[in-house]
Amino acid sequence: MAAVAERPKLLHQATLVKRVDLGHDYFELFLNCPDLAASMQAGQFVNLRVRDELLPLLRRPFSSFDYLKDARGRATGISILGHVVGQGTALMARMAEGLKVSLHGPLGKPFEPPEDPATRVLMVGGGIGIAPFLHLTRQWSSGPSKRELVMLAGGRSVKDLVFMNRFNGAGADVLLATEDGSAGVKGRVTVLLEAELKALKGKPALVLTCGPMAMMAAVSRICQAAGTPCYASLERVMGCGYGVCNGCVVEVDAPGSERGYRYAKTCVEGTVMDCASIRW
Amino acid sequence: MPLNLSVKLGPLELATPLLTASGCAGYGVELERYQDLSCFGGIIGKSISREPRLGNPYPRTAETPAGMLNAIGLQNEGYEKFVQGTLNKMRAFNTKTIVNVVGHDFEEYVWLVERFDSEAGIAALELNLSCPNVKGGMKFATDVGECERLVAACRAKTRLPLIAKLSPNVTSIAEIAKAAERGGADILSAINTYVGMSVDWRSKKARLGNITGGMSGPAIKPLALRNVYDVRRASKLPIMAIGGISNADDVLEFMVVGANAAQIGTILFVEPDAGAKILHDLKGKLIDAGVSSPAELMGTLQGPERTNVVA
Ligand SMILES: Cc1cc2nc3c(=O)[nH]c(=O)nc-3n(C[C@H](O)[C@H](O)[C@H](O)COP(=O)(O)OP(=O)(O)OC[C@H]3O[C@@H](n4cnc5c(N)ncnc54)[C@H](O)[C@@H]3O)c2cc1C
Ligand SMILES: Cc1cc2nc3c(=O)[nH]c(=O)nc-3n(C[C@H](O)[C@H](O)[C@H](O)COP(=O)(O)O)c2cc1C
Ligand code: FES
Repeated sequence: MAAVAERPKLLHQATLVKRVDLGHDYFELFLNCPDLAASMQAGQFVNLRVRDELLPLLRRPFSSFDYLKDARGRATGISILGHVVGQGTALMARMAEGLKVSLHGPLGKPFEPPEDPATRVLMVGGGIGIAPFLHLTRQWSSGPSKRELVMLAGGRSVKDLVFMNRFNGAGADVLLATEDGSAGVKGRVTVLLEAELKALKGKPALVLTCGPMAMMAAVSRICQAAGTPCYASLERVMGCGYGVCNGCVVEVDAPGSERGYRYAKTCVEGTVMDCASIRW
Repeated sequence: MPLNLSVKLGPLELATPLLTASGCAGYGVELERYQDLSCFGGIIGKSISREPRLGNPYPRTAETPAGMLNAIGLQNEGYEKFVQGTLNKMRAFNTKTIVNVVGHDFEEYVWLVERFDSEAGIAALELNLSCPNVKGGMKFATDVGECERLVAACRAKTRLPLIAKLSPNVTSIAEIAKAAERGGADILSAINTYVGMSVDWRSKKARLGNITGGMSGPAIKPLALRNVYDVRRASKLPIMAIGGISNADDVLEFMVVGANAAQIGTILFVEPDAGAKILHDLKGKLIDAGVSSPAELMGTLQGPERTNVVA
């Protein structure tokens, strides 16, 4: 069959070359996997098999955090920024270096660069939701998709931002906000966003956001009021990650349909989606 | 001794004993990226209803130990769109197309069966008798009389091989199996999901938007084995086994208790190429065991050993 030759490689055996414990339940896994890295775009995700057993059963979805290259600039792999929240991530935080890890990906749709190169890109991330924006910064800080990049990073406290030094020298201006004031300005990240939008003075801007649903909903509202386009990378509980189970849905507007909305599969229609279409 | 993997389930002949379970493979399109679909004897698509169905509110899935719960709510594009688009894609696969149908009521099932009967390129119809996530959706799977009446009415509308998919959420699956056989089903498939629940006691919330959902995956395999065993003893109809099948050994276990073919569901979420992998291993295991056809294993379960019986 002709289709066989075109079959993309989506199942990979990566090698865990390094694991770094970042403290406060955060860790980074450096995974060697050249063919995955060659096609992976910021905003896409991999579905990671935690163990080669049936417990835990399902794969776990993760964004690419960093994009790994060798000295000659060739793609060698990706890193994953992890936060321990349950049994799967707890096992990942203890994974032994040298381990083979099954990755399914790249999955989902990536962030798209704004057409106008003068556009200021405001990345608004909360906690672990900041992860895709390091990869994005690497992608959009040089070359044809070079854009002015600002990272607005929020957390409850400095403990939720232990990985922010990874942005040093990456090519984005970084501003922090914490609810307890332990790093950056005291308050929510939306305070930073509102100030940034005001300071634009007519300059074109694009807002990209990833983090807790409530935060992304607030970001979406602010952008709608300001008339600034906004895209969110949604984090929904997934069954399959590749469109066959109908699990990972979000309500989106469907003008003309009986109820005016439909359930969109975020793993294939997203996870990056236009905030204006989402029913927060 | 050449290995022959084809199986004959009454009027339905399949090139391999593996199929996809409804709702776990979309309509086969995505799976083609991971394997040649000829590893499957047939692709069974997600349930199709007369009108499009929106489905249940999020969250729709929740993992459980070695399994998962789902409450998708039978989201599907409905008959019209399916026939105009998706069905054509399925027909182009190099495997058989089996359409799974579901209705809110008696009339909807019969309407669908009649329509699909006149569509070309469909190898069989599977009746999803149970829809545990839909209000009032259980009577055809749980009531002997209703089950027989529905299967008989569908039978009258089609000459296509008719598969009745049984629910384990019953007192006696054997009685329902017999009712479906009396109604004129050609094949029985067992099992659909077990109704279950998952709760977060801290937030005091159910983990599914629908509160309850259907349990699937390796965790239900022992329960599925018992159900298939019961169905085999109650009916002579060919059986497609379903429930937690994750590898070639699982397939063979179900054959020993009486299955003729196996549908794989949840494992496809974990390993999208599970069809090719399982078929490959199945060949190896059959050759190693000196078995030339899966049919040889069918219903070969032995009685219990009684080593400690005092004579
Ligand atoms: C597209 C996408 C990208 C993500 N990127 C990252 C990332 O870069 N870094 C990171 O640390 N986390 C990320 N997450 C969240 C991560 O997938 C979950 O934290 C992880 O699955 C939890 O697994 P667990 O076994 O530790 O938790 P458990 O609570 O034991 O998991 C139980 C089940 O719920 C699912 N689940 C639990 N929390 C989440 C969640 N927040 N989102 C989706 N599914 C969840 C699990 O996958 C599993 O199926 C991402 C999620 C999505 C959907
Ligand atoms: C996400 C999901 C959706 C399902 N949707 C359907 C469906 O639409 N129709 C149907 O007859 N069965 C449906 N099922 C049930 C499966 O076909 C199968 O009977 C069950 O999952 C047990 O098999 P498994 O353990 O191999 O998954 C669904 C199962 C899952 C997990
Ligand atoms: S996670 Fe299965 S369809 Fe998106």
